[in-house]
Parts: sequence; structure tokens; C-alpha cells
Amino acid sequence: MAEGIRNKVAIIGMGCTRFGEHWDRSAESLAAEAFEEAIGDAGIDKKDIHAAWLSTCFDEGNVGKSAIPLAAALKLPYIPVTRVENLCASGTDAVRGACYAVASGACDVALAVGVEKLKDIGYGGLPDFSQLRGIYNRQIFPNQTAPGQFAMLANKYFNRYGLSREEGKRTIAKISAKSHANGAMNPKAHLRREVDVDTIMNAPMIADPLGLFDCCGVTEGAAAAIVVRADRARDFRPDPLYVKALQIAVSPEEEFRFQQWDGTHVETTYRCGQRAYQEAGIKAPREELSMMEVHDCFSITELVTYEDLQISPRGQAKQDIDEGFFDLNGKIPCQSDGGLKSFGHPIGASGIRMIYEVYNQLQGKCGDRQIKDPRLGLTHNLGGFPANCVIGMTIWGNEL
Amino acid sequence: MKTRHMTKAYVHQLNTEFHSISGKYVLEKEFSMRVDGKPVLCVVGNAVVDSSCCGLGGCRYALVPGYVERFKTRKNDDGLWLSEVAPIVVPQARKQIARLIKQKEWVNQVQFWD
Amino acid sequence: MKGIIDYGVYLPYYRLKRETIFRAMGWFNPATAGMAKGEKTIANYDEDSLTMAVAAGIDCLTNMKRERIDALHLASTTLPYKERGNASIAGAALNLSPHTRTADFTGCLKSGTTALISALTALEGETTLVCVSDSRLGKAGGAQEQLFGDGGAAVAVGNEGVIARLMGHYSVSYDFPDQRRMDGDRYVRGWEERWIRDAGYFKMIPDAIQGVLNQCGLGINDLAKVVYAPLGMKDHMAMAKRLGLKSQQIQPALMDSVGNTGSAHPLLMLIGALETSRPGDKILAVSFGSGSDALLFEVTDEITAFQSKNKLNTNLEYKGELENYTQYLSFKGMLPKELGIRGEEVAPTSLSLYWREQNAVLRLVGARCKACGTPQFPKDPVCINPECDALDQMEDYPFSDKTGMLFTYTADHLAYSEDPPALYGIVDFEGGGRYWFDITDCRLESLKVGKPVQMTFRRRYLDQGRSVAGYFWKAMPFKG
Repeated sequence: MAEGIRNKVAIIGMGCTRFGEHWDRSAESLAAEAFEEAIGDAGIDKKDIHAAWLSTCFDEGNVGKSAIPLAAALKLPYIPVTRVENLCASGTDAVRGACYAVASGACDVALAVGVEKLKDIGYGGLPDFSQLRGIYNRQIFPNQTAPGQFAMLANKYFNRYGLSREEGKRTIAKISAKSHANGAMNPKAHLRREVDVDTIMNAPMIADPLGLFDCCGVTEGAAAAIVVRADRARDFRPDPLYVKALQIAVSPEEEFRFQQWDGTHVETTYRCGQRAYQEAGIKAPREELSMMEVHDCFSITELVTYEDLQISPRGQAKQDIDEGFFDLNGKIPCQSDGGLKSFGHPIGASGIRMIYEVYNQLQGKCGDRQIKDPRLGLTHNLGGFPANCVIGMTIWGNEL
Repeated sequence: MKTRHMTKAYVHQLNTEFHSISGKYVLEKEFSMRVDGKPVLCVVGNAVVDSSCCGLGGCRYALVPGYVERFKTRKNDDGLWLSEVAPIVVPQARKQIARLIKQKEWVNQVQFWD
Repeated sequence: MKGIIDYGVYLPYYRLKRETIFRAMGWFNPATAGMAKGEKTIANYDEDSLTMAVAAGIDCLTNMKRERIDALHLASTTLPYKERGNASIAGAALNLSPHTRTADFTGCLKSGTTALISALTALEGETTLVCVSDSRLGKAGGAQEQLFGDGGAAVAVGNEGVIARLMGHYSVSYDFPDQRRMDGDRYVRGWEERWIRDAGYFKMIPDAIQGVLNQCGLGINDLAKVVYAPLGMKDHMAMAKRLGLKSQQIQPALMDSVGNTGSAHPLLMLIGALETSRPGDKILAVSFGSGSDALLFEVTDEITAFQSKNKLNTNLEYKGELENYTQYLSFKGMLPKELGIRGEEVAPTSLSLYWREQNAVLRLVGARCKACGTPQFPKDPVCINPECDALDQMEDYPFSDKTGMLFTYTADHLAYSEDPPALYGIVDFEGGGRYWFDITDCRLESLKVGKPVQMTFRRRYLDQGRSVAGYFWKAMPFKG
């Protein structure tokens, strides 16, 4: 295997807006706010930045195509800017672009900004999501939404591991309740409310067995990161975050086109995790990781991710959930910022938002929701469906 | 039967909006009906899914916590009435109750506690 | 002489009780009270006459090899396209060779029998598949709304393996303007029902019958079964009296279970007669519409092999009730609904892309890898089997005639659907291959993992602003 990116790049500054429905804010103003926070945090000037990456998912109703909107919003002085779109994993891919550029030596300081503006389309929910396969999608893809796809995953999982519908629903309800409890302590979160398990269980179905509280929402916001070479990081600040792994895995669609996938897990997450652990030199993730921010677009996604990332053994995530393993005071707190369900999911920004939480936790800046002495944090960002998706993963440490 | 002892506490909380990031629901009405000689607690709610990432929706639905064992005999810390219910797990009984509710109330979904 | 060598039936899943119609519209037209008995078939929201004709054709092709077919006759008065060969779409959906001769027969309710006569009198040695269907619309509250049903029938005609030999045929053609539609008309317009019955129905059908009996030197008593199109709810029986038929000679008109399926109806009834016939039986089939066609058949020994399939009964029994009259109106496009801004956004269809991908879209033809044998859909240059990975080793492989099992499924309350919740799932095909499909013609409660499914050709969307019907395949419970 190649040497990998471990310890070659570090984050020296980050920014993140409050997430929510920003009726009075443009994508440009959200991006500028996250950017200002990031360069202020890093203590650098705009002119120090050599290259930038913009991640957004939607075109129309958002900033439109190309990287020009970011250059124009931030008045970046004719530097290289690239727009990245890789579904809900776009943010992680933008950070990857910035890190690779610095690691290659092509530039010293690089910027990644993720932003999503979604409330200018005139209706709730996301704009029509049939872009996979472009205009061919409409001909040969079913009339499906993400809740339905993840509901199929849930049913298969419950069935395989002998969980009754009730046990299964209650287990994933605990995941939601945990994230809401964390998010209630996060001033930048979209929905700051604690929710108990019974309230979650009494909600109606969106796609059986996934109910109202199992599904994420529509959120606007922006997040930004500034990266430099690891060996220069301490010139900027005493507590930079060092990259340990940066991986993207993309499904070849074997899952729904070849009779091999068992339907109870996300193969792409598993593959991505394998590579990320290898790159980071992690042999026992359950013992070594301090915290995780995973893509909890649906509660079941978080559950299978525990197993795909080999934190919980296959079929045994329930035991860890019941024992509070992923709670804020557990062994590996997961979604200490509230995750997609509470912090929100401005698509292009989400991957960077996850890193923002790891950054703040590892720097000990999280106040009420501070995890005790974290050293190694993981982010997991999923775009698409269980059966065909893009996974972006990062692992960060506060030591070289 | 094991299920005899599987009673659960139902918290009566009507006309309170419960918000998730993807929408909200409110329970609007409670009633009980006798099925096979036993009182069944039914709750009717409305949900709006107006900020889910994946579409717009909403529904009127019924929630069936179970057979009423003890009705509003105590209150919880928030001062809300609690009832002891025995969840209905027999598929045939569920089918019958769902049919009776649909005759009485216009609902898209009927959900049972397990 | 030529004859019928195979047949197929298609009745849509949904049934609407006539009482449901009357409860909704009786306030306006109490005169339809007498008709409010039994039920009628309703095409699902994703069906039209083209998809129903294809479904009947597929039912026919479960017995015979499609390679035998030289020509396809499609007959209906409700075909979706005025210009764009409906039969060419059907031919592709039936996965017939592009070298098949295709023709649309339309314009009146005898178009089904006319298509059949054309097939029976075509070149000796040629095999023709005749697919007939209709889904006509009557206005809300009218008698036609009560009478019309939706459905299709298919009959294959050839020289080998004849189950019913054509003895003779006779036609009368008149401009009898009982029912009419012009370009742009959605609903059938009629004239006084008593006049249609007395001046048309009671005259033309007996004329055609007399014609074919004279031609063959037979009398009405020589016939085992007489099939003739229904008109109102009671006219079919009144006609039997006029013709002097004994009760066992009358082939039931299916009005209480199906309704009048227009062009398809005489063929549907003919199949019903064949399924209960014995070798040597003489069966007469007569249509009514701008005249009348009469066809006389003699059943052969070959029939016995076909009857076990019980195709008509299978279709009569596989059904679900459409409980809301407004849902019926919605399915038929008679109820403008609030679709929301999202629903109003209709993406254009790329017709060049459609043409390029027609094997996948219309035929549900994917590929089998010549290197490892894995069936896969759609066809890609690189094999989907990770152990194989062969490049450009793909040969065409049809999935439309394969059964499958539900690998997983869901009911989605958020996805936009004309019949929510949207049902879809992943299908594992027998013999290999996996893909995800919408699921239709069933209720959620009837689904379970591992359930056998079959593929059905459906209209995915109708873009009336651009005159495009988008067709593709869905999964449905295995019907047999």
C-alpha cells in the first residue's frame, strides 16, 4: 500500500455557522461567515491561501455550478478554486482535495469550504434528487427516496439478527435520543431539543420501520477548514489537528446489481473503514478511537456504521447502544455535537461540520458536551443509499 | 402468559407538538373502545413532514398503546397522567382493532405498541 | 386452414364496485341505480391500453416461443399515441424481433375482431400475435362510467398447434354513429341507448351471425358457445332470446365482474369459451361497433393442454378493491390534484437517450457475461461480478420473462406516488441478476421478503405537456 497521508497535513483553523433555516441569508453570506471564523481561528490572512475547494451538492436554488461563487463571495484573489460534488459526502471530498494539495507540496495553505442553501425552492424537502444517472434516472430507477432505501436496510438488519420490530425500533430510537441530548447542548445546532425514547416511538412512520425522528432534515449552513503542512502547523497554533487518514470509497453498485450483498450493512463503509484504519495505523478501533462523528442521516445508518467500522461486532451494536457505549460519557461518544439529526445536514457542509466537532473536541473547547481527554477522532460521511453510495472518512489526532 | 405481565406506562399528553428535525407531530384525541370485552386505548395524531431531507408529507394516524389495565391512576414528575397498558401483540387482534379504528377515524396508519 | 394457437388474458388488479360509483354520483344521476351491481376492472394509475395489451401478450407468450411470431396486430380504440407506432412500442415490450411486422387497428369496437380476421387470413404459414385492449372513459355519473371496464386479451394465430380452427368469418360494416370520439375527446359520446340497442345491436349482430352460419352451412343449434359483445347490463340476455340460444350456449358477458372492455371484450369472452370447451365444439365470436364481425371456430384436440392454466379465472381472482371513487377519478386523470411545486416540476424526457437505451427501457434486456455467465441489468461494458471483471463480454439477456424473489422492499410515505405509499424493492432474478424496481398491483400487507414476483410493463409517467408517455418495468406479485 502507498504511504498514505497520515501526519502529512494539519488543520490550523476552522469555522462553522449556526445551522438551520436561514431565510434571510444567502449561500455566499454563510460561506463568508464560516470562512471569516476559520481564518480568524488560524490567525492568517486571505492572501496566505494558495488554493481552495468548494463543496456543494445542489446546483439550482443553491450557488449554481463551478467554483466561481466561492471566489466571488470571498473575493479570493485569482487563486485556484475547485468545486467538488459527491452527494452528501461532498464536504469530506473538499477537505481531501485541500489536504492532498498541501501534502503534494503544490501549495502551503489550502482552504475547504462547504455550503448548502436549500430554502429558495418554494417547497419543503430537498430539490428533486434524481440526478444519479442524470436524465436516464427517470427511465430506469424506481420512484425512491432515501428513507425507503434505509428502511429496507433496517428491515433486513432486524430480520437477520432476530430483533423484533419493537426491539429494532427502540434500539435505533435510543440512537436518536442520544444525539438529540448532545445537540441540545450545542449552540450552533439546528434543533436543540432533548427527545425521549417514547416520544420517538410514538411518532408516525415515514418508511416503515423508520419514523419521523429517524430521519434527518433540511438545514442550511456552511463550514470551513484551513490546512497546512503538518511540520509547519505549530507555527500557526499550539494545538493543530493532524490528519491520520483521509479516504473516499465509492460503490461499484454490486450491492443492488449482483446477488452477493446481504442487505444488512453498508459495504462501502466497511471498505472505506478498512482503508482508513490501515492508513492511520489503527489496529483496534474500539480501543483506540476517542470519538466519532458518523453520518446519521437515518438512525439505522448510525447503527450499521458502528458495525461496518468494526466498533461493535456484527449484529451486536444493540448491546453497545443499550450499555451507553456511544453516549457522551461512554467509551466512544458518537455525535457529541448532535449529528445530522440535531446539528443538521446542510449537505455540502456536513463533512466539514463533522471535522469541526472533532477539531473542537480534541482542542477541549466544547464546554458542556466536552468529551474527556480525546486523542483520536473519526468522521464518516455518506452520500447516497446503502446499496450505492459514496463514503468519505477522516481520522484526526492531536499528536504527530 | 408472559404478555400478561408486560404492561407499560402510557403518558397522556394531548395537544403538545413534538418536533424532530424533519417535521412534527401532535396527538389530538384519545378514546377507548371495547374489543373482545377489553378496553383498548387509542390515540389519534397528526404529523407534518415539512422539513425532511427527502420530501414532503404528513399523515393522520392512530397509535394503539394497548389494553387498558389501569387508567390514569398516577401522575409522572411533569404532572402528566399515566395509564398502565398491555400492548397488543396478537396479529389477529391487531388486524381487527386496526379495522375498527379505520371505520371510526380517517387515518393513514395504525401503529401498535409492542 | 389457420386457427388460434395460443391465448393470453390481462385484467388489471383494481376493481371498483358499481355501488361505490353510485354512492358518489347517485345524487346527480339516480337513474343509474339499476346498474349499481357487481364490480368493474380499473386500470391502475400506471397502466394504459398499451401496457394492458402487452400484459395480455406476455400471458400468451408464457406458452409459446416469441421467435415464432412474424407479425403483431395491436387493436384498441384508446391507444396512447396518435402518431408514433403503438404496436412498435408493444412489439419491443414483448421483446419481439424488430423484423416483426406491426400494425395498429383502431377506430371502432370491432377493431379487435378485425385484427383477428386479418391475422387469420394473412399469408399461409405466418404466425401473428393479436393483442387487444381498451380502457374507455365515461363521464362522471353517466351510464358509460358504470358499464366500461378495462382489460386486454391476446390471441396467437398460426398453422401449427391449432387449438381452434377458423371455419368462416363474416362482417358487416355501417356508419352506425352510436358512439364516437374525435381528436382530443377523452370521453365517449353516445346517442339514445334504446336506439342503439333496437336499431343497431339487435340488427347487426344477428346479421353477422346469419352471414357466417350460411357460409358454413350451419344452424345456431350447431354451436356449443356463442360469444357476442355486451351492450347495457341486460341487453346481452335479451339478445340471447332473440337468437334463440339455449342457456348453455351463452358465453357469460362478464359485465358483473369486469365491465365492457370495448375492442378486447369479444376476445376476452372467446378465451373464456375456449377454456371451458371440448374438442369438436363450434364457437362463434361476434363483435359490435360500426358494424359487426363474426368468426366461427372449431375447437381441436390441442385445447386440453391449455385449459389447465385457467387464465381468465386467474385474472378474475387476482384483484384488490379500489375503495374511493375519488381515487378512481384520480387514476383516470379526471381529478386535478394539488401536486405542490415539486409535483409540478416535470423533467423532460430525452428521446435520443431513450432510443439508445431502448433495449433496457422497453425490452428489459440486460446482459449475460460470456466469461462468467452472470446475468446483469442494465448492460454495462464491465462485468458486475467482482471476481470476473471481464470487459466487453456481454450478450443480450432478457429479464422480462424471468420470475424473481423480493430481496427486500419498503413502503415509502415520502416518495411522490399516485397511489401512496410508494412500494419498491430489490429483486433477485431466478437464474441470476439483481436490480431495484417499483412494485405495483398489490398492497403492502401482501409483500414479504422472498415473495415470488414477475415483471410487468408499466407507464412510469405521462408528460402531457410534451406528449410523452414514459414506460418501464415494475415488479408485481407472481400471478401465475
